[in-house]
Amino acid sequence: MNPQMAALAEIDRVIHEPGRLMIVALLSAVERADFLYLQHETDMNKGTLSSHISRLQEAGYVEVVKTYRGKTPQTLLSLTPSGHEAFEQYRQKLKGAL
Amino acid sequence: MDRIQELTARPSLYGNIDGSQEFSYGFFFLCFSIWNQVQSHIHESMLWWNITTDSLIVSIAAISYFGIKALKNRVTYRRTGFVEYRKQGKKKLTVLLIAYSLLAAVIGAAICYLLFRGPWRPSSFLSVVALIFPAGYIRLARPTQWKWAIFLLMIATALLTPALPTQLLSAVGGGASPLARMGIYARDIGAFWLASIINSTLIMISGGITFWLYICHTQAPGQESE
Repeated sequence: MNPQMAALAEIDRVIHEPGRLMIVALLSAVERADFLYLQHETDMNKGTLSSHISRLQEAGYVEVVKTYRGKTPQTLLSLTPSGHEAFEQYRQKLKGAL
Repeated sequence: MDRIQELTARPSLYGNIDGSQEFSYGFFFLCFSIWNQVQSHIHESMLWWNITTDSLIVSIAAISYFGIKALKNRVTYRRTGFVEYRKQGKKKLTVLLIAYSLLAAVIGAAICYLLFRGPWRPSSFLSVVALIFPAGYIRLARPTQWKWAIFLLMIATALLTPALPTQLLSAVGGGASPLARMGIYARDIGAFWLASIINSTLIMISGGITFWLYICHTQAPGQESE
């Protein structure tokens, strides 16, 4: 296998899925953001977004905190250190493969 | 790869999705410019002179800061969500923006005077330093087509204001300004404050339009139930 193909094969499949890639890319640039922001930016419906977030949470890439802003429930999301690292590695590998 | 780059840049643009950044910058610089312009025309013995510029700047900055905060809490976060930025990134962006704006203004001023105004005077720079406004605004204008029209208007203001009749500019500049006592010509002071007032107003208008479009195209969703 040539090195470029090998790099492609090693790509993190959790992040590589387009919906999750959008979430991780957006969260990588901020300290934290809420569910509504991600929904607005990604244009996904609540169910799809929730399932992607659950998958990222299982992988340990995203931390979810349920809180309140005034009387309104708020779901805050942030990228964990391993999430940042995985995203950085993903970018490097993709860059190398292209 | 470009798409990923674009996505990581989106949160930084989100801060101005409602036009609040533009409006507050415009408001701050408009108040500051008007205050300085008025100060150029009043005698030092008057009460207004005793109100220091520093305290005025702090007050205007506080109004802008808390105004934005209230707007975000009551409107933006409820409609399109909440974002908390990294403090380190914010500081780096501000420093870069100031450095970039200053550099663009200095280069623009130098080119303008070399082309149109003949011999360089120490005070020449001041009259076109208002180029700092479009230089700072370009970051906000880039993603939105109609903002390029405002950007061009701001450049035209900065470049054409110094070409207005000397009498008019001197009248605007006044003679009581601390800048005048430093030996800077009243016409250059006048050109600077006039261009600053017009460009600040343009930024405020741009912020107002952005806010109106934001309100028209977004609406608060029901309570989250994810």
